[in-house]
Amino acid sequence: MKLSIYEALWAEPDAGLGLADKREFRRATKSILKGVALIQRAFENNPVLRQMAEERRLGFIVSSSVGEIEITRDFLKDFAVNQTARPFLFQLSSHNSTAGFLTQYFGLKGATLTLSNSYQGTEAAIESATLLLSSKACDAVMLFCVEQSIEEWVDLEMYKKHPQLKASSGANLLIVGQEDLLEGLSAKATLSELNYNEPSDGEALADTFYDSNVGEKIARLIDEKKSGQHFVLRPDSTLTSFVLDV
Amino acid sequence: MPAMITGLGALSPLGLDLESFWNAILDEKDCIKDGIGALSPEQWKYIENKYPQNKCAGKIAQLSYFVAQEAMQRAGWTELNSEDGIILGTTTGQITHWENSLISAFKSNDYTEFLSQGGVHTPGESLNEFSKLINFNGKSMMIVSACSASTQALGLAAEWVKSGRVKRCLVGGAEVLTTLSVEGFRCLGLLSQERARPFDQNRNGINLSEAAAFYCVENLDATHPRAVACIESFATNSDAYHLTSPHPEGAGSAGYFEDLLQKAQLKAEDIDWVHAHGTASSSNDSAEATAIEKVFGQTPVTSTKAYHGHSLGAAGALETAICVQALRQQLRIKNLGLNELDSKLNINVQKTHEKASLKRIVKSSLGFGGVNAALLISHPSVLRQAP
Repeated sequence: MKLSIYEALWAEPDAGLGLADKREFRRATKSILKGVALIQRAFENNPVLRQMAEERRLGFIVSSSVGEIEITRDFLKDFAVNQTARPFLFQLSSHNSTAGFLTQYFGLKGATLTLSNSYQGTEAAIESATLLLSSKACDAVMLFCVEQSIEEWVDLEMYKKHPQLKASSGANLLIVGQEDLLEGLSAKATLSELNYNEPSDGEALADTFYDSNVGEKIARLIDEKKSGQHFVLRPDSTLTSFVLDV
Repeated sequence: MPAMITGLGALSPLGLDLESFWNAILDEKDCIKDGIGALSPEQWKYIENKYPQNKCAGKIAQLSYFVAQEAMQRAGWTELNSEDGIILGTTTGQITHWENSLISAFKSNDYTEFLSQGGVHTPGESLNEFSKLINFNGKSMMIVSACSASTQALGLAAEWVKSGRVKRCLVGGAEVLTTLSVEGFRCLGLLSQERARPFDQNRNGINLSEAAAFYCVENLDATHPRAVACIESFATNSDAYHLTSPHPEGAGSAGYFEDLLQKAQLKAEDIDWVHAHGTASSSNDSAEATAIEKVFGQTPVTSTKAYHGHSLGAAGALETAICVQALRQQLRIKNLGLNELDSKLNINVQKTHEKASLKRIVKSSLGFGGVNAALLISHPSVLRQAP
């Protein structure tokens, strides 16, 4: 499998939160706001994406381990404490609501999936993007990987049991396809030999990066123009490796 | 080579295996009590007794393990290896663990027990637990695209084995009733207290339910004796319209139906039956029927939600089992619950069980977030005849 990467962006944990003051985002979750910030940048950098989205030629995959856990917590709290079930909290509580809001806001009408693997979220997203591309469901796929911790719980004991959450309030966005050139899109890099879920001895390799989002790792490597084989030791002690040609 | 279903298992309050589930449908039974299709305590006990007692697992993993055993047995699979893949579709995963202790914590303002249980919910944990139960450590995906989840899972499974990136795929959907989903749908005014009436003039809402169904999918020649049915085509798209309502004119649904036919290089007249999502909500049925009419004209249409309820992320997988059985027995299934077709809908709803020549069936799913998905499930004989 060899994929061309047309765009690779990452966001800091507080990315997009300033948008919450705007009327159209008053009910947007933090994950959604990160998505808005990243997709806006991608659309500005690559104007052809809007047309591809309208023509269902741009697939969209959201990958998140915890999803909209903060809103789910809020819905259940209201229900438990006040015996009130609030419709807008329920609408946003679904894992799929991140994709639902973003597809609506940006007019993304192509193949759309939401994934929720515990650890290998970016890898599963790339795997499924490959399948959408090989089956000709779309010409390019936008992968949005996001994690949003419940901030006031971050320091609690439970996070020690779930290391993927500890450093996980970030987001990244990759746009991938199978051609080097694609109507207004040109590849910044190619990704090949992706292997994941491989056993490891748990020892950190020279180029090891502890993070739930391999997509951020890929985006940073492209920015730094670091070609070659890269290894990522995952929080579940498996190994992910890939070859990047920038 | 095409992606063939070689084994399947299904579980619903109507029956805990494929045969009893199917027979209940043939007998026009339903499992709806007070508007809900819940597994009984006796059914849960039966299921719990079937999984390895030395392995701790939540309800989704238990259901998945139980029904996957049936699928694998029917396919002649004894185990999975690292060249195989697993895809599981659900909406909330094992949130029942998390939400019960969280609600207790909120009510008592005591978080000790909640924190002692880990305090975090991720659907992927269900997949991890299920994988451990069946001793699998290969590649896997958890799809949580709302009510289209397991339909997408089946479609991706077909593409996965066709691509050669996995040798075989164990794929399915599982859903359990949760406070979040029941109270959430209730607050949206979408639940019916009586049996659902899909496409009916007086339909008044959805029956939520729990269920699971699993499939063994592999690349096989259509003449192979283990080939039960083929996943001939898969399409998915997004309405880009609303978080919980489909496009009122069915624009998204029509788009993925057209994509499905185009990918298979077929025309609407090649389709013998449309198994609709048909939740019996006002907006779903009108949008879906509009799209069906536009693309498939007067091809017979059935929703089976009145038999087994709406099992959300598992719905596509469960209802695909009905499609496969229908192909095997050459039988179109009645749209239970229909007294009077909504006068605004112009579709040909199936009013009785009917013997028919069935070669290709479209399974349709619509989900919150505007995610739509459809499968083309075909009889192996169709592919045997292909040039």
